[in-house]
Amino acid sequence: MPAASSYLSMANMFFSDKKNSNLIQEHNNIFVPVEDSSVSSNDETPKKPETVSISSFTFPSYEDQFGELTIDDCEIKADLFFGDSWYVLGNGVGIYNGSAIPGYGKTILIAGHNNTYFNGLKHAQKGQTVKIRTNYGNYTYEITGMKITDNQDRSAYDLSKNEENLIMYTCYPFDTLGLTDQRAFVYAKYVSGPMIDKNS
Amino acid sequence: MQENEIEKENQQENEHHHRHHHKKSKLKSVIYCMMSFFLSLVLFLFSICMVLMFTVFSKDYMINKMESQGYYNMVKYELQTRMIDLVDASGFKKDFAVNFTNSYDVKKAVDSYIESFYSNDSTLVETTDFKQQLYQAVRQYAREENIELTDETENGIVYFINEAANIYVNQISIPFFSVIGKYLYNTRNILNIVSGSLAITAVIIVCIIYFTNRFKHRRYKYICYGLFGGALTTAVLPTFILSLNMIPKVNITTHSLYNLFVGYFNTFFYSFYICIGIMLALAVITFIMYVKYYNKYRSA
Repeated sequence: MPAASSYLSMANMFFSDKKNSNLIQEHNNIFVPVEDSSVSSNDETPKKPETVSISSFTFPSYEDQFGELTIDDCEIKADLFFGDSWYVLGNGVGIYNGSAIPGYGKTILIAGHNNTYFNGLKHAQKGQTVKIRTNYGNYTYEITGMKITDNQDRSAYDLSKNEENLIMYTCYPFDTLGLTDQRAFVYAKYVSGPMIDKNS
Repeated sequence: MQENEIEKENQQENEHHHRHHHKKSKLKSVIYCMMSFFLSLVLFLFSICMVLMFTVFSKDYMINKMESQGYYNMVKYELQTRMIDLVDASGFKKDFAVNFTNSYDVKKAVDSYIESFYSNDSTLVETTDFKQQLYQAVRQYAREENIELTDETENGIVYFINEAANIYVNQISIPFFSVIGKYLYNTRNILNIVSGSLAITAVIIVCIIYFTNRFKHRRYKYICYGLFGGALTTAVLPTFILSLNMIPKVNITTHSLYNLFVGYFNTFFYSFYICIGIMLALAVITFIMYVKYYNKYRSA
């Protein structure tokens, strides 16, 4: 049996445990809005940022809808998915699955199409507020800048950063026919929202 | 006294003759059993060759499977879905994609792809017509929507058309088909020779068993052994694979390829049972003949 186990493991790569009967593409929506925790206005003692235990919520799987992104000043309101496949970008905006989710304390890289959900990024300006609501907490970011660059420019984002920050990107120029090889990056810094406690 | 000795000598001679005859008969039966074994082996290999010839190496089998599994419609649907995503991302209205995905063109392209594989032509998906149609449609769309086509837009359109052509190629082609295709094509000629040789070998073995046996019941007995053994050996692989029920659990993401794969391989393994059925039917006939002649031999 030990001799066969490597072959069995290899076979498992090609076969699943159950019959693949449902291949119709439908996304899994795990987004249930969370109420903002009430903070008393006359409470002046500085508070530590809230935390949320990683085991207390459902971690999104690839192509799961788990939130909503809003930038009121840019008239952007889009469903937020985990992953950035063609399917996802046809239905909203998606977090690149090699980056982090909000609250994880790292770079969040979100993609969207320039002619649909992220068309409003053409109005993005410094100081505007980006709101992200997820199934485990609500987050606010503030736009700090914008950059137009080539689609091969790896310096436009840093996924290894150990600081919560948001990068949204889309094709550039906006409102044009066809595909382009330029990208518009919009950078935002973390303002508020519960940080994920990875150890609990 | 002398008579007794003669009688004893005769008895000894008879015993010796009997022993010798018994030994010879045992050796004969071992040889015939070996022949039955070889017959079963040859029939087993012949069944595999036959099934391969009528399934994997047959273009008609592939086309039939594609039709019965609704492959063309599914490819059309998947191509349309991908095209809708692409045109949506490229600033067109979604219904712009619908014109480029009709069932007739998809069937023609898939059939041509399959044809090139079985005729050993280069297995490439032709995209010239698709690109030209798309380019003309884009220009017409721009006119209708009053969109000015600048140099920058033209570049974007070329990029879009190339991306659409890639999607088209990916949907029409079958993964690994062109890689394994050339090996299968070369094997097809060898397979014809191998199956012909196996058929001749089987006939020779049957003739040897039939014409070298003095007793008719033994002829049928050894042929029956060979046929039954061949049927059993052939049944092992498909029964094992089908009983595991692994084929429907294969990890293939697109619906069209999944359905084609499952239908294709299910029928492939079930085809072995046709050969098994034929061998079992012949085995039963030869067994009946054996019983008939054995009863005659006993009563004689």
